[in-house]
Amino acid sequence: MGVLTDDCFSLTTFAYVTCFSSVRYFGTLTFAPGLPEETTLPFADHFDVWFARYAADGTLQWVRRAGARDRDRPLDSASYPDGSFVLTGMFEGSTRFGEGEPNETSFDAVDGRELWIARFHADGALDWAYAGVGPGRTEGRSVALLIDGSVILAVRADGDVTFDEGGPNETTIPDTGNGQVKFVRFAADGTLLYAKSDGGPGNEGMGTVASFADGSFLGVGSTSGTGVLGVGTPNETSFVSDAEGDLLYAHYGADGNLRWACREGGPGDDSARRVATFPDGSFVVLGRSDGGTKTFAKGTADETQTDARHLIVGYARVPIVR
Amino acid sequence: MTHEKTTSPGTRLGRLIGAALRAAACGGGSGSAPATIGGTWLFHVVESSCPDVIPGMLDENGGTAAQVFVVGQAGSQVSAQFVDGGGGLCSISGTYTGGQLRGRLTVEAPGRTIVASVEGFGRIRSGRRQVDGWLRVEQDSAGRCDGGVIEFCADLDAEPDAPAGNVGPTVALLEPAADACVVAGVPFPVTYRDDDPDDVARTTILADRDGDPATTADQVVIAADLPDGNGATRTVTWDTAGVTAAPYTILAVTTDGSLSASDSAGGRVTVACQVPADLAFVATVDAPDGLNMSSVATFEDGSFVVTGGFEGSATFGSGEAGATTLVSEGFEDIFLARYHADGRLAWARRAGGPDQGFDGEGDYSDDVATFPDGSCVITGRFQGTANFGRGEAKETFRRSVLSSRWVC
Repeated sequence: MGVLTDDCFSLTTFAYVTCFSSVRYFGTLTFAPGLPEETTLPFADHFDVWFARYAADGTLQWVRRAGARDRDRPLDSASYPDGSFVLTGMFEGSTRFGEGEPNETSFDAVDGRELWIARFHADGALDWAYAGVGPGRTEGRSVALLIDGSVILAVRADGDVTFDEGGPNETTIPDTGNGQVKFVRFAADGTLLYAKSDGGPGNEGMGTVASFADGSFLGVGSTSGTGVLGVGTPNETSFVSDAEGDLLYAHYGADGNLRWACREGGPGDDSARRVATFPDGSFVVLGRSDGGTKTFAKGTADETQTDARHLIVGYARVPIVR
Repeated sequence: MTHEKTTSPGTRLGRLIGAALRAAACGGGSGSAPATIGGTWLFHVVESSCPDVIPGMLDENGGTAAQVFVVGQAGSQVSAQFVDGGGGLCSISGTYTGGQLRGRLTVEAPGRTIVASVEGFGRIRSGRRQVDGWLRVEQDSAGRCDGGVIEFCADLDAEPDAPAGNVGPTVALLEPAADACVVAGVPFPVTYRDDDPDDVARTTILADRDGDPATTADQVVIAADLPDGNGATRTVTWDTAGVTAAPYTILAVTTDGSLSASDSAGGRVTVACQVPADLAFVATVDAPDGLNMSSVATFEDGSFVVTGGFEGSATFGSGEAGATTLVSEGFEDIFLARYHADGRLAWARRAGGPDQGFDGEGDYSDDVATFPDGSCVITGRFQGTANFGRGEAKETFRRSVLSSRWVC
């Protein structure tokens, strides 16, 4: 049986010029057909996850799969200099990582869609894995590696999210309002360092994260209504979206405390979809809008307005608020 | 500050003028022996028509006048202070000496004589004993505040509605009508309208975190003790410097001493909402038929690549000399665009084929990653057939390839 459908969701590269791809697939999947490295993955009656490493010339080095019954989906990845990497995504029903390996790990969903995050060695063998479970929809949206090798996971969830449920490291991200920014930090060895939620009466969401060289990280997403981030901290920042939704930027220190937050946009439904950072602290954001005039850097000498729907916005640096 | 008054008969001013005319009669010594009203009255200077004394308007006769607003209770002493044209501090003080209500104010200005007269004042109610009105202090022909004695009186019996109940003040907050946001330190205007038909109410404008004026710990006073504007729309400015970052409900509370009213603005004001990031550029893609930018990845030199899918046509670098318009071969194609560090387009290319999947989707790229040598790799999905690098040496035609490395 050939491939019925497949989607490639995430891609990362390694220092020694190989690339890695994580994909969900359905059916049977054959890699490098007719070549010495030809590899066929087992039949998947629902969507499973595959991830593969390719050499710089495109030669397949290995391919592995994860998942169990029901649907699994990868959503983001990040790689370490040693070739190991972190994947995150979602699953329904149950899922399994490192099948047949000594530390094979399985998770069962509590309610509907749950998130997973896993680190793999350079050869694709499982290092560690967590599931985050809770009521409603829960997804691991984005991962970023901090300077010390720890991992920031941006979470999308409709309610509380519990990691290592019933285990010795059980930790819950509380959900205290409408949509909130939720994120978790894991040490490089998989130790869960903290799990946080942040947000006010409005609806805030953080879809992707990227790290800076100083160990901090920037999350981007959207906000609507009256938003507050860093609630109760010295850098508590509040904002009111122009109307339906605005681009949201939230800069956190490695300790998870807010350093700075900002909204940009206009009267339409605007959101920040992706972010990438540069070593000098600048960053670029991909944004989307359904219309209306968006204003960036409002009130500054650089104030810029545009009616475009597809936005690529560059910033020189994140402000130091206090 | 504008203190508008009308001269229409039957209005408040009309009644006050009537009182002033009667004041001349009682001041002339006619009528019954006045009852003494002792105590202290407080005068508040609210505006002046004497440009050299206190900024204000010219009176109808071309002279100038310092206008004194009177609010007081029985037992208060009448007094006011202002700076005269010579820079001296003039004071007005007085006590009530009789009549139905008769005031005698002595203007003290060392070395000068101030001519003053009473134009009118309002009612006195039993129990509360308030008076509102104004005094006119006229300058002499030399422009000095040469004064003398101010006398005023009012006939309580002549007050048409003195026995009636107090009419309460009203206040309405007009702006902000919708939620607003202000960076701390930036002045924020608040517009309101208040009125008190039979008194001079005092209005206070507040910013309150929980919206409850009774809890004062979370309040910031924007402006306090403002005499009512007789229905005029007025604006005060909130100095937000140093204000704690939070959303605030704007409240207005007005009182005439016995009755009060309040209102809240239609929108909340969020202070210290944000400090914008240091904007470098805003680049846009014009794609009238649809475009999805799915990923961005950076190079060490500050340049970056963006990838995704588009339908129809998509113009990258709009308005630039190097603007590039891509046209999809089929339903939806892949795009990859590289930008300079300043946001200018370096180049844009497409890949894909004419087919459309059973799920209605075409070809698109989900992610991009970069290599130190300046190349990059994209991954995504295509339907049926797809062509990568058309016209290039490494042009590749695939039917089932899931990813293709592009040399940027």
